[in-house]
Amino acid sequence: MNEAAERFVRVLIRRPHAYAFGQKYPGAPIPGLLFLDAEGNSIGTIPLTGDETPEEVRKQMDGIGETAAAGKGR
Amino acid sequence: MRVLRRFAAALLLLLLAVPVLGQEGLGAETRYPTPEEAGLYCLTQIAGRWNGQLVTGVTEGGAAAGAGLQPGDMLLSLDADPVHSRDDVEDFFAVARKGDAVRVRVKRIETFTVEQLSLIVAQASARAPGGMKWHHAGPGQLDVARERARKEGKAILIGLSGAET
Repeated sequence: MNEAAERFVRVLIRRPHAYAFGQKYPGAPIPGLLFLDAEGNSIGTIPLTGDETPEEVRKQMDGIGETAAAGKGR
Repeated sequence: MRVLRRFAAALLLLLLAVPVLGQEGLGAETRYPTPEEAGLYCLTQIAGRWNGQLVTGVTEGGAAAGAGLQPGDMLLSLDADPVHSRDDVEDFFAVARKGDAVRVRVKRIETFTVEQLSLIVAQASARAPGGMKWHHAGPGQLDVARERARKEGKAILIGLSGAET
């Protein structure tokens, strides 16, 4: 999990701030992971419903990280 | 079933998070205020949570004592992060570094004033092994996170937890 997370600056936001934050970013999953570019634009989300495994979450994080990196290279 | 799923999701996010042991970073014990205390201190709410943690004890020689925190103070914020739970306090000190200067806002009931104190982080909070390591905690650190993301050429991952604390 940590290797996949290395591509990102990581911020933890808990209740109740998470709800206020969710209003700013409609579709932000609570609980879950929201990914932003450095300008604050949403580039992906991973809802944590309780059904997914850490490995599945890691793969999704890898995908979002690669997309973000490719976007910067344009 | 829905409650169980939400509980499982909260557990997964906690696994992703780094558990913090105690409130040694602050050097004080705090708890969530009762509705009566919230009324007494005229606290505000966000999503049903009072903005404040009541200081119930201060460790002698600790960071809070050095800053002048006293039992009975209502802790309102740490730097730009408003405090709504013990987790907010623990998260803040889990990402703080030794020697950091922290602006601490407290409300004092005797004088009914909001005081701004300066606290020097004496030690990083203990972290359990494993789990995701967070760089920042709370909405007040988002600007710093964005600046860091720009400098390091990275994107930002935000863990949003809805768990009760």
